[in-house]
Parts: sequence; C-alpha cells; structure tokens
Amino acid sequence: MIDPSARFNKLLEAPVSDDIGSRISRRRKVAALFGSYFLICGATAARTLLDSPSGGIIATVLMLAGVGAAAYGFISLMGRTFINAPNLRESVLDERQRQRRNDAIQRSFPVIGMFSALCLLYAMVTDTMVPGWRNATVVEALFWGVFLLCVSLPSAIIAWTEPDQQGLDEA
Amino acid sequence: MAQTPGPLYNRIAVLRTERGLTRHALAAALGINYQTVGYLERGEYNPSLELAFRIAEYVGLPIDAIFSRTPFPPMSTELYGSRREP
Repeated sequence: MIDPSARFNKLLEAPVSDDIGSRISRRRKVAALFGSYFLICGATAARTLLDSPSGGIIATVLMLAGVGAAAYGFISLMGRTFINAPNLRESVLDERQRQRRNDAIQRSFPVIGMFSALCLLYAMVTDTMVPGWRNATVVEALFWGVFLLCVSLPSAIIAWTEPDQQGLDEA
Repeated sequence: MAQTPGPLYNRIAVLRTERGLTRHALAAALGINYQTVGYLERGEYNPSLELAFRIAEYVGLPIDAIFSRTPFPPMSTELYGSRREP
C-alpha cells in the first residue's frame, strides 16, 4: 500500500502543463479576477446603501457577476501551469521559470505593502480621528483585497507579462 | 556598483537545426522547458553557467563555440571566408 504522504508528494511533483494560452486570453482572466473584486465591493455597497427592492436586485446581479468572474479567474489562473509558478514546487520549474517567478513575487511586494498600509491607515483613522466611521463592509472589502493580492498577484503578473509563444515555438 | 550585463549571443538554434532536433527534444535532453529553449535561441534569456555547461556537453563543443559576447559571423563566412575578388 502506498504511503499517503508519498502519494501527495508525487502529486506535487507531477509535470507542469505547457499550455498557458495566448496573452490576450491570460490578460482577460487577470481582468476577470481583479474586476471581480470591484463587482463584489459594488454588490456589498449596493446592499448597504440602497434600501429598496431594486437595490437588492442590483446587489444580487453584481454579486453573481463578481463570484462568477472570480471563479473563472481563479480556476483558470491557478491551474498546474507555469502561470501558477508561485504556488508550485521549485523542482517542477526550470531556471528561467524560477527567475520569472522570483521577479513576479518581488514586483508584488510593493503593491501588497501599499494596499496593507491603506488598510492600516483606515484602521488608524477610524480608531482615533473619526470614531464611528468604521464600517464592517469596508473592513471586509479591505481584507478581501489583501487576500486576493497575496494569493493571486504574483501569478497575475506572470500571466499578464509572459509573451505570446504562438508561432515562436513551433520548430 | 552592479554592472548591467550586455547581450550574450549564442548558436543554439543553428546547432539544434544541424542535429535535426526539435525544441521539445533539446529541452527534454537538457531538463528544461521547451519555451526556455526558444528564449535562449532568441537571446531573450541568458542561461546560468550550469545550464551553459550542460548545453556545451550535450552538443559536444566548447562553451565559447556556443556563446559569445560579440555577434557570431555568418557560418558561410566562417567556412569559406571572403571570396570577393579585389
């Protein structure tokens, strides 16, 4: 009987697919993933601010569109391809891919840092300067933003910047 | 102060074609992704010293016959020289 941890390790070491799609399709997925953030924020704002049946309909439509776009972006970008290099094992990547992954992670840090600083600023301002302004919806949206950036920004950078291979690698 | 590396020219495409290899075959032999072979051939990626040695060992040539800091002259010039009459 195969040891479950050995089986799991074998799964993590499985070869990575070369099919990363065209640049346009990858950029569409990145746009869907980050666009979903604004759709979900819009849905939450509509639910909170619009106190009418039409507000509820708008919120539901926006939420469904946001969740759909998020699922599409996540599932297609977080597959077992080089695009998802930040979440793959070192041993399944070659040296150029490892270099691209490191570059993407390094480029993500300032963005994640700035967004986290924005969250901290919001917490500080609503804590000391204008107490009572803190809104649970805004806090949720900010945390969701940090989560989204941490989980997907390096992969999104690779997906966005990796050149089109079609026509170049057919030899 | 760090120096910006200049371009590194290579003959990987010519050597691969001479040997009748596809990018996939060369990549499998070198243990890299086939797209990386494309990047190397187009000069868009400079290999590590370790990979450069692996390529040299695989094609059976010294490293300086494959990589150079200056552009390689065309093969025809190297083989036949300049035959233009004065």
